[in-house]
Amino acid sequence: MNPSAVIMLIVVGGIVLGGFILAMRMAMKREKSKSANNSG
Amino acid sequence: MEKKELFTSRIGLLMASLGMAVGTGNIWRFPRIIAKYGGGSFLIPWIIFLFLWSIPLLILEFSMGKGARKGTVGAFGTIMGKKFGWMGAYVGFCAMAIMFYYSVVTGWCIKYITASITGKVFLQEGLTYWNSFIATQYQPLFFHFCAMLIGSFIIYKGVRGIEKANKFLIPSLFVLLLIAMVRALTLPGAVEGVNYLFTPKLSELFNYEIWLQALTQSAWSTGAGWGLILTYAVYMKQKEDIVLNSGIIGFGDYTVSLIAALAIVPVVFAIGSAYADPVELLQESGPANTGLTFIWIPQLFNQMAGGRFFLIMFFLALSFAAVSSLISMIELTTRIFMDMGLTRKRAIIMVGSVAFILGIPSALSMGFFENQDWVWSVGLTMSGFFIALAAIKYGVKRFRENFINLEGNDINLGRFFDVIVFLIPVQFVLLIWWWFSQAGGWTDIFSSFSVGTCLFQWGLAIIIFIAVNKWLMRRTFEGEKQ
Repeated sequence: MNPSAVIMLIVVGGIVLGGFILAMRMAMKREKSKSANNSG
Repeated sequence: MEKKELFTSRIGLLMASLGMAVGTGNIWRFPRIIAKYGGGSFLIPWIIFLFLWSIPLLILEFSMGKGARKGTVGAFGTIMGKKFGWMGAYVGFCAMAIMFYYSVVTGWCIKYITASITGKVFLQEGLTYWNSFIATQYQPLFFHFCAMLIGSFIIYKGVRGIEKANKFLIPSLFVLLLIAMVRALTLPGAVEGVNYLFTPKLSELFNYEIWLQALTQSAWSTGAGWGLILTYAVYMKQKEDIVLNSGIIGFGDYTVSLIAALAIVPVVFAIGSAYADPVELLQESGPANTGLTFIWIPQLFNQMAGGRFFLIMFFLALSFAAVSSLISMIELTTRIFMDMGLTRKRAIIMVGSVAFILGIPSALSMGFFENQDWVWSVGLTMSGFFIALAAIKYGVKRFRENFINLEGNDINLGRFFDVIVFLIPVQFVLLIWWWFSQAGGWTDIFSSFSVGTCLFQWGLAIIIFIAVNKWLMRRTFEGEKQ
């Protein structure tokens, strides 16, 4: 595979997928702490 | 005012929003646009616009809908002042104009479920089958009718239906796309397609078309500037988060777009190279580009064990994703008419009938379809411009404090967000100026892809909405009192 394509794939894929996973994890964490506060 | 139906959980709202964002924009539109406009070069502006255009606009839309508790016309009237309600009407109309031809695309998806079940799609070469289907005319028309009927029926049942369906459908579509991507990447010669998709040619970044199409695709696919998120936000709970949800929609949508491109473009190189130059196949305008996903996905699944089953499942999931996006467009338009005092049932019947009639030309003529896709997808940039203007007119800092950084929001925004909001009109003006100064066809209003056809259609819509602005505002705000 073309080296510049590999770099682009890693950068673009990393930003997009990394951003999605990070945002989802944060949302789930917040949701857990909110429900813990509500039940406590 | 009657109590509005609210989403029952965060996951429900997120899945409904992702259902709106993940649809044919990623699976049908993104692969053909990236293939046509430079592959790797396209990705650079596309990523930039995620941060400088789409996510900020999603945040603004969520805030406007949640703050005003009205559809696009009412939200602009509330936040910007009644003189500017016409801007909300333009935003709503732009999404409605897309709905007219989006329903045709949804119809294509439904047609391909039946073709997969009967196996007819495997009997002919992909392009031949696609061309013969489009040439019949009565078939695209019939399936366009089916799509509008299904969409209108679901929206009549209320948002709970969307919530339930998307909890199952979004993950299914995602898994099917992953299977398709893995198979596509293991085909001999597929690596050339990956190279095409990810190798940037920096010289192409001096072409305005790459930037204009990247912005348009970003907005089209994430839903930024459509007014759809604004409409969904009308049903949000008061303590619901805005910023993180916008991020999830933006990143989620982009992830699915990349997977879809990796599932389709390498197939053109692996299979299509046997009888034509794959780059020519990808960059050619017309039915071959418009039907890219419909032509190549069946050929990909034909290479797999159990391909027919997977193909049926794929088009089933794609149809559901398309319908979930279509119903959000019907909901947006219905909401505007409900704000003006119509009952929900009447508004849905009116919107469904008008959308079917005005979608007929796109169902019958590929030239008309391509013109509408061009005019109203680029028209979304003006919608985004209007939404940013609303926040600026209200006062960006005040907007942030009154509508975004509220109790229940997971991430509060600082002053940098104000700067990004001011950058939205700057991006719009620069890009439009670049496009107008480079492209010809100012007076050619009947050409599919000219400046003139855009100016004529946008201008006509804006003039009409300015002329009826007072009436729109009176109906919208009197409708609230009833």
